[in-house]
Amino acid sequence: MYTKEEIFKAVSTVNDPEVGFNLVEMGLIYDAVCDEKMSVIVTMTLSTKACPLHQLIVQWVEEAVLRELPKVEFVEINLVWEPQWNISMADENVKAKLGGF
Amino acid sequence: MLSHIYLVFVGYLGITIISMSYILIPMFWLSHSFNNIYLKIAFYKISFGVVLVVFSQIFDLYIFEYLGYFEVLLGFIFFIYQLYLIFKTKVRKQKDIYYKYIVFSIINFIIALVLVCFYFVLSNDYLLFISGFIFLLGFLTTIITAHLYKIIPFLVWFYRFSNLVGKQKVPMLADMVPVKSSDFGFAFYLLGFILSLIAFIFSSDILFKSAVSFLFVGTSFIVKDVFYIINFKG
Repeated sequence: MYTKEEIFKAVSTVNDPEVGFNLVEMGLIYDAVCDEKMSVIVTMTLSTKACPLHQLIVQWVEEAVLRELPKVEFVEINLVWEPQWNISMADENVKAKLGGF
Repeated sequence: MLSHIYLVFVGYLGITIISMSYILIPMFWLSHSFNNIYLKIAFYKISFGVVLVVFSQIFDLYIFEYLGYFEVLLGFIFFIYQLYLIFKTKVRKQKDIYYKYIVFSIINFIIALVLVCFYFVLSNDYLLFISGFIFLLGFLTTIITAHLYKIIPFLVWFYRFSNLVGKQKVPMLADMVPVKSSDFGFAFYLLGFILSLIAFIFSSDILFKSAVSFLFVGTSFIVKDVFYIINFKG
């Protein structure tokens, strides 16, 4: 079984092309679990419901988990809108680079 | 005829611009946690205003025509306040080319509305003409240009690079926009626009011709940038 940290590290290889940060440092990945059958569930959100890359980003996360964690058999993405994402969920370096704080 | 113009320009074009701005501007600025009640009020006020104007033309009740104008004006004021809330809650503070064109367009929208108000008080047709010019070249053109600098890179990126994500290093959308060239384009456009307003005030033909030259150079930069983005290969 992979740990939450290992799954987060795998997902961190996916960048949001609009803002230039990876999904983990953006705070878009809420949770990740892996069970004994090597099935991974990633709970995540997007910065906006209107995101035109909606389906692609979900696909990239799936691909990243399968690519970076070779023992994983199955990946499920649980896309949620609650809690709604806001900039306070992002890493300090993201906040500093965006200039919002 | 007035009903037709109002239905198309305010009822269709106006509400389309408002609804697209409401989705796209917060998306690109990463604005969050703002109250959108003002957008809803704006939508109902503008829609009701259009209905009043159409109603006034059908039944020759001119009091409704002016009530309709007033409702639409109030609707636009609510919309501007909604944009202010989006601006206040934006996360991205970089003053990129999108930011410059959007701020410029909204300022011009406010000026155009103020001039229309003066037109109703002073009944000076020249004010309406200048307001129309500011609305078309200062607001409509620039809000479209702002979104061209976001949407074209996205479409090209989606076509050319989205399949390469995870396989090789891909550029960010911002990498696809030529910063200096777009800034030059904005500066020339701004200068040309301001010069043309001065030319209107002084009724100067020579000033207007030079203003058009600046506008032409600014627009040429925009066209050049569009081709640069379309041909961007990383």
